[in-house]
Amino acid sequence: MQESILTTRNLTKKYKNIAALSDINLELKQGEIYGLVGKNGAGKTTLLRVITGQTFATTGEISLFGTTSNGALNKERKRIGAIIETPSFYSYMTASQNLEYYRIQRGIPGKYCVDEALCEVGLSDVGNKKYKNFSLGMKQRLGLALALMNKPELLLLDEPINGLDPFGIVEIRNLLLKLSQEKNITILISSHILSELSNLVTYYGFINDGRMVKQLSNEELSSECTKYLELKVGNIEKMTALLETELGYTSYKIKPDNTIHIYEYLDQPAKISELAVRNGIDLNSINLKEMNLENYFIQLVGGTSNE
Amino acid sequence: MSSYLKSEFYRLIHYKWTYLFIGICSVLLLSSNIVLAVVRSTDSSFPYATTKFSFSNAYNNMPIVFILCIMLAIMIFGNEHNNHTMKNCVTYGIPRGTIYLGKFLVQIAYAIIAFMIIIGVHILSGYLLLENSGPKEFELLIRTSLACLPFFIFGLATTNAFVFILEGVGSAVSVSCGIMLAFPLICNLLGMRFQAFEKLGGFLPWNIMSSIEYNQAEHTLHMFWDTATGFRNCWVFGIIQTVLIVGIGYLLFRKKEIK
Repeated sequence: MQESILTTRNLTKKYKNIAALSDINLELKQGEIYGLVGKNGAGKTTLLRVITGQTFATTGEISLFGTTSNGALNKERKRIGAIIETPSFYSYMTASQNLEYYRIQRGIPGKYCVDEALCEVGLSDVGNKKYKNFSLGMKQRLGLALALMNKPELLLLDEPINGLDPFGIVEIRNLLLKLSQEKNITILISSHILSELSNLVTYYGFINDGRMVKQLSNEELSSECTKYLELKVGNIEKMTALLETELGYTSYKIKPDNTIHIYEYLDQPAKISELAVRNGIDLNSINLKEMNLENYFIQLVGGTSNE
Repeated sequence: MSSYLKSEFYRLIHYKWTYLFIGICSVLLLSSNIVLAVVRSTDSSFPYATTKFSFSNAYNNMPIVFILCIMLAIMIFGNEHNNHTMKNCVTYGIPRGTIYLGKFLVQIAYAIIAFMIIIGVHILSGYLLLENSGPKEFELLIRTSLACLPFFIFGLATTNAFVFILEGVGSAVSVSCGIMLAFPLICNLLGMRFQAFEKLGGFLPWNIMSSIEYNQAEHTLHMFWDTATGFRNCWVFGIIQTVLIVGIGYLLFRKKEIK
């Protein structure tokens, strides 16, 4: 059985009378990559800030590596690496000076870990460039280097690929996958680039208005995100009748946008088009479609996404 | 705590204002001695080119050093909230008490080093450039500096506390000035009518440091720290008020949200 790394029980955070988090329950098992999905202001960052001790929960409990008391939590936080909101460093110091400052502060032995961390995130050649002159992508990489410097067992990453170029995104994604696979590091990642999460995450938590709406594994999500054939024809009634009588299809839906979604025999689009042509029905298009993470999320939280 | 202190010193070493602050203050004091020496070289009857005049200028102006403590605390630590760097420490599980006291201790250490260098430059340049008036003024300067040291620490503690509690540097400076400068003056005014305020005002650093009186008849200065009791009281009042403000600051910072 996998060890539980992080658990929250009925975690609630209120600002005056407004609940930023309401009864959040989540559990991260060792080696998992947990994707926290939610609109802006849904409570993702607040949750990460409560976990890291930047702010305090109004009610509820956090368990980190099996401990729950406040003093012990602080000790266990030394096993965490985190980027919460934007990375923050001293503007007048270079990348290695900033990391050296935190290395000394954290009592991490051996100066080599600074170079190692910089190398790992692709910042080994920034030289004496001051942090204030860094691009957003470089700042993000330095934030990740700091998060990795203490060889964490749990990584908490709040929108870690913000500001990265496409190459940077792939690099960081591969790095996170490597860390998870080779070092069995547990990762909690929030991102608004949902397509990136789907390439990485093993477990999802959907958060909306401070509430955990749904949690499910990647496999469960895949089964919920079903594939279907989208059919656009001139005469919907005649076509559906033919699908039933001629081909024996029963699993289909007629959508408000005058399309037919067929959920079975997905490998037989030729048969359908032949049926339409043979019966004189105008066939405008026939496409294999799949509900992706984005559509699933929008459907789950309702309305349109503002990410 | 020791790791935290080491890291803060590492940061200070890489901060240009660490050097600029000491440099600017030293140059200002040095230039005052140079001006005196230059004037004497052009006018041999000029009576103020002496260490007595130069050093008395320094010990008569300790309230300025008190105000400089606000600047120093802001300079070393004021941008912590703007940089959002404190969250990196909290996230790693460094206790808030360590952060709060660590910054304060580093400020004290830096302030003492800076003060020693600046006043050292002033004394040395005084002896090198001006007429030596004897050891009395030098001793008075050292005694005044030592008596006012706990008040300077109180100044740092007050600014440090409000920089931690309030996020804006401007608000922290305003509140610190209010407590360190305006409150004693208000106490003095109210003290004219209410005895309790008069007594309270007598404990406050600003009032104590500003209480230097010149005795016309004897041509002597009277200072609060002239006597052993007065000197001891400077330390007792300074320490009590520092502990109070550090404690209040910590209690409020303990529950503060770090952004």
